[in-house]
Amino acid sequence: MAVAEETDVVAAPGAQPAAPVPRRAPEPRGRVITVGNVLRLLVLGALAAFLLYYVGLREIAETTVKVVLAVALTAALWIGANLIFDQAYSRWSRFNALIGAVTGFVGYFVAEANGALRELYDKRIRFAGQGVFDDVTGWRTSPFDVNGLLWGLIGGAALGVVLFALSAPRQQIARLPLSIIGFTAFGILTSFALDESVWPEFDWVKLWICVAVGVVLFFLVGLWRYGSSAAPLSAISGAAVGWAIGAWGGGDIGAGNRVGAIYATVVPAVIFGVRFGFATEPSPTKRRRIDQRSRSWIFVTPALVFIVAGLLAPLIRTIYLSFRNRNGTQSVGWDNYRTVFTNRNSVNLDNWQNIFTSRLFWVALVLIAIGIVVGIVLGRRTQQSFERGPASMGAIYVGLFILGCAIFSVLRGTIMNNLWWVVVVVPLATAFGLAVAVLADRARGENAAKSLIFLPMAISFIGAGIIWRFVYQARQVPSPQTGVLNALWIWIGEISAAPGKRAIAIAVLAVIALGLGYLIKFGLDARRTTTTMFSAGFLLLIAFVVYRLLGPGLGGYVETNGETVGRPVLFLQEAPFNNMWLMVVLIWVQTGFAMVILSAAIKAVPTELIEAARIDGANESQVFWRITLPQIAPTVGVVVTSLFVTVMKVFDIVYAMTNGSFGTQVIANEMYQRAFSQSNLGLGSALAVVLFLSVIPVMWINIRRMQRERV
Amino acid sequence: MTAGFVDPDRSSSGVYRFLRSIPTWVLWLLVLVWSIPTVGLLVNSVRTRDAQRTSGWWTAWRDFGDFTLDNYREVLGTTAAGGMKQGLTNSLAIALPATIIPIAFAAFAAYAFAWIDFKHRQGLFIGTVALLAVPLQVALIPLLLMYVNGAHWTVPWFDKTITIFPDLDLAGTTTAVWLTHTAFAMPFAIFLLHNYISSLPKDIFESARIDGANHFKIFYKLVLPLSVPVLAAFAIFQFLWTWNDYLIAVTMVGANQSAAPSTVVIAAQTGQFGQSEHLLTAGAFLQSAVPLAVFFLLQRFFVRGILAGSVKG
Repeated sequence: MAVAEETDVVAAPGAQPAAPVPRRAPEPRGRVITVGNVLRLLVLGALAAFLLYYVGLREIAETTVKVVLAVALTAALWIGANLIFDQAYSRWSRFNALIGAVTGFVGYFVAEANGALRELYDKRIRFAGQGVFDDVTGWRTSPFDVNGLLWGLIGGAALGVVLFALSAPRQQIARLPLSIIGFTAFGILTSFALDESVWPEFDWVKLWICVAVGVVLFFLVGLWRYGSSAAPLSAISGAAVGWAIGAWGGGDIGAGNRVGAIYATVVPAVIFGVRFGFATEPSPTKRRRIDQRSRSWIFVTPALVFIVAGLLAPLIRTIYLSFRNRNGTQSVGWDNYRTVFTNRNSVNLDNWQNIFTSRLFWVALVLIAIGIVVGIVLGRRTQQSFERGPASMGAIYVGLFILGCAIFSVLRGTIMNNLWWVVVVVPLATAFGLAVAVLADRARGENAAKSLIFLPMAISFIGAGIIWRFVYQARQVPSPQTGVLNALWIWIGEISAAPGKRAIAIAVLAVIALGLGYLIKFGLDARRTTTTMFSAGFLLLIAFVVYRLLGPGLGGYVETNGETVGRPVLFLQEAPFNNMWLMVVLIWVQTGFAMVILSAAIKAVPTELIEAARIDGANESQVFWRITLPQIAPTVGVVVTSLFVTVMKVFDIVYAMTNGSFGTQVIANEMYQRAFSQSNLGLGSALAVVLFLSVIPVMWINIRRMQRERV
Repeated sequence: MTAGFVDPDRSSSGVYRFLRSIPTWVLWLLVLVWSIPTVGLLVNSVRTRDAQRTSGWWTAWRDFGDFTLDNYREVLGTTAAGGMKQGLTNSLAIALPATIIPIAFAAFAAYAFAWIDFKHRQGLFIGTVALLAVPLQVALIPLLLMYVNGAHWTVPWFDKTITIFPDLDLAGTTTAVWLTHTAFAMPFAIFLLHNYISSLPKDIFESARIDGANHFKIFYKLVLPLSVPVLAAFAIFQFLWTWNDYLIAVTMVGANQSAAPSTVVIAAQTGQFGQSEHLLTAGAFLQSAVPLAVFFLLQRFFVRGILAGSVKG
């Protein structure tokens, strides 16, 4: 608790409504040594000590070294690229030499790694001595094949020299022979470097087709991008590229002789030489542009590579796989989707008529009817056809919510379950989050309360699932219940079964009912419909409890032979409402998320608005419903869309608590089971695509919001 | 001054004062309900197996003899593959690179999207943001296939197979897990950092350009130091997310227990909910200890990250 008091957690958004607002001056630094800071340091120290002691120095050091190496390597590559392109404007020759060296090195290195170059040095080398390094670190450094490194250096040096010579300032007339000689030399070097096993035998038809296609394609692109003067040069490049592709791609690799190898390398090199020989020295403006353009790609490419390789390409492949069989070897058309949507485990509407016998359904209808009636009656007072106040809309929303639960408890199946999750978790997490944000606003102990509500956000879904399994635990009757809920339920049952206790309970309830009755009277007198409605709602609830206590009984117990025996609820097994007990876990986690965002929005509502409303005689509840709520409506929209995505892909909670049995399957868990437990890639992909389709509206909303903001 | 349904003005009779305090009571009731599950886990984790099985944790105060640290000792004592020790190490090995590397890459990209003028900038950025909502399930199967076999493409007509991504034996390693996390984190990271970096004042960039600084210099001399708050916010967010992730970890690690992070370890323990549930309490608490500590220490940054990621979006 002390920690929670000290951290001004959720106060931060209050001070800074829209999170990082850089225009604002940095927050003034207070005293450095406060109780909070000391506590933080202590916790951090304890954590570090625990990890060091328990996980072990070596493991942590190893992890750290790996991370540092990975980061250093990335940083070196990135900074290196920047430094090279820094030269483009002012030092053109050096820039060219560097580009040549890097291209040559990478090209030869990759070629060698693929076994395309001959052996220069056939021994493997151990770096850092014979095992000294290994003994210290405990890692096995594998012996390194330096062949690739050597070839890389040779290729890099060669291409670097060629480009350097070419870029030195000189007469245009001397350029062509120099370029042809240089590139030809590089081509010959490459042809000698090639290993016998990759000498290609040409398929001349394919080769010439490739050259033709290359010429035409490059000519057109050059015409389109750079205009008619550059198009012929482009066409020459096209010929070189076409020749290389035709020779290596079209030919039969490994079946040819040395002549083939020379043709395949020297010819494109010579063509490139011609192309570069005709090129002119770039003007300073052009060099400036190279500098600029390259920069944008250097900055964007690393992220784009990850996005394309880790998200886009897999997304496309998933869609492709969803039309194929379980190994992806054969096309099956729409079969997987047909399975997903017509399988009785996915959508089961068989018992639809049961809904009319469900009590929830009728309660919901009555509530909605009450809401509509109240709205119309109140509307007459304000000369509107329908008053959309808290009383009418509250009743309607609660009614719709119960209606949703009634419907989805009858219509079963994986997809129906997912919809049920959406219908329950999204509104409830938003409502609880809003409630806490409003109730805690400027209340005493606001920060502590908020951080306690927020705390589940830091716990993993798996951890949350485990925590709640203990809450829902049910034990065989003679032994005492160890789950909170069952203990509570059986305790209520004991009260209900014992006449003495029952009388006390009813008396307590009667007192509360009296209070509520007073509130209703007050509400009617003062024309406070909201107060009246909420009190009446609670009164009905109490009436129901009293009826249960007096009549059929309440709580978990059964009477056998005049003896009362507790009867626990199997929260996770009793379908269909076990689904709702799983949803409670997600609500428990996500309320903190909704609260943080809504709280910040509430604090950002202009005080002038609220003051003006107060001066006009609005009370607290009217200020909330008429001013605050409409003001934060866009934020509520953001919360709802984010929650929707979270709920649609809910997986861990179901996995940890029931693993989809007892009628609690959801799409994400089924996808995991199909794809990874049963290795049915086709069906798993189809389920993933269904998930993807369901969030497309949210993607669209996000894009629209972005575009609006950037205008 | 609490907002609520009851009129706070006009009268100051006892009834009114009581009614006015109702919102605060409701608030603390909610807080109590929200805390019960966690407190229950914590209390149970320091009770003996028998005590956990025979009485509720709320009765623990009756008998202090039941308190013990044995559960923790036993959980921490398992050093075998699939044990908690290995799990925590692996969680670190996943969460650290999966936090640091996306930050770097996303910062580059965010700067470019915000301050470098290039073709297709808008389109690329909108496309990136569109990917924010994509459920990661859609990428899992192909990524796993790629880690297992590499990615190869047989070029039609030429009939040659090109290796796009070599088979590096990544399946079942922590590297596969953090690589995947890095990819999935990119859209959100770029979006978050872009929000911040694009709102830095324009003047500083202009004066830097006039002084002859190029983008590279501006980035590491100006943008990086100025963006520390948002970098911290994202770092916390990403660290908690990767530490707590289960789906990616269990998919990519698969059957290789020696690479399983802590979430996979405790999830495997739930399989035997009956026999060793007294250890599960301690295991779950240990798994949560790191994120909870980070949460309490750096809550402000965490909240800031969530806000920046949603309110402005």
